[in-house]
Amino acid sequence: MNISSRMMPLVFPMVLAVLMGGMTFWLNRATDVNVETTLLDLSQPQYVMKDISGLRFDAQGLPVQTLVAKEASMYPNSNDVLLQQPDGQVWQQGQPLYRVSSQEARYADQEEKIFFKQEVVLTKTAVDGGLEGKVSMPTLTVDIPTQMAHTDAEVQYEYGQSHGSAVGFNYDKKNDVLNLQSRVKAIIYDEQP
Amino acid sequence: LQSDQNQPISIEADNGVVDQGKQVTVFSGNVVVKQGSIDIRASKIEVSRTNDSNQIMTATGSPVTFKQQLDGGKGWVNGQGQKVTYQSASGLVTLSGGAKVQRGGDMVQGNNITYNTKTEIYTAAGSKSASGSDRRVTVILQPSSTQK
Repeated sequence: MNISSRMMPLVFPMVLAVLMGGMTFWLNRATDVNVETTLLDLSQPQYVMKDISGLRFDAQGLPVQTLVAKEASMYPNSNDVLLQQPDGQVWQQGQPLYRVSSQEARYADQEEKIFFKQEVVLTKTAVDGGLEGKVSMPTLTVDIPTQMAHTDAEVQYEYGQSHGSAVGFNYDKKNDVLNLQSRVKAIIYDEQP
Repeated sequence: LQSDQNQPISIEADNGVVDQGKQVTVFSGNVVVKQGSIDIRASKIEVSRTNDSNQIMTATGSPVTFKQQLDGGKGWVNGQGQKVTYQSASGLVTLSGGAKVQRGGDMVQGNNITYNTKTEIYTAAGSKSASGSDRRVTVILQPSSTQK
């Protein structure tokens, strides 16, 4: 009986052991993948949402705030939201109260402020038989916690036929006080809505 | 002019505050108000709306000046005072504090002068000075023949 026939019983388990060891080694290698964090391109948005439309209701199921925008995007390493052609509206008891629209806006998460840019129009809807008021300007900053709106730019305003302009304004929504900062001009008509 | 009432009011100022809660608007700094031929200049003007939607305008300055063209080519009426109030409902203008109103050659001076923009009639009242002496009203009326 030669050696090979005596070796055969040993060869099979050895081959099997080698195979299993090789498989384990290979699997270990295969799962041991180095995750290389590739840096995102900071000049490109990380998230983009097209044609967004948001609606928030109050406890009675009445609309409180609506927001429509062509696009909303967020960039890497930033919590700010950039909006294209935003159109936001505030409602009260189910009736529209204020509306702000512009070409661009940036919601700064940290500061809780919204910076509107280009063709900004702030509209106060006519209530109780009054007239609609409209203020147009190139930039507007809205501070959400204090409910204050502010710009240093020139504004044009209309209220029915009455109209005028000023440079810079502050609007304190809580106290309903509008402060036209300088170079105020107004043409006031006796309005009968 | 009678037509003044139907004209829009033009206001220019350095600053303006609109308090919609209290229905009060305050213009301050080089304030110029025009309505038709009415021309008011002041350092501060406060416009408030009464419950029956009429407006009361209070102007202060050093002094406040006021002028309006008279109907029928009778020239202008000019007025001044430290304080001028105008009530849209009655059309009354009240000048106080060194008040003076001049119309053509006529002139009235006193502490308080009330001028009715609808009837073009004004009344004047004197006052007591600090020393207690009476400050009387001064009225100068030109004979109508000299008012050509």
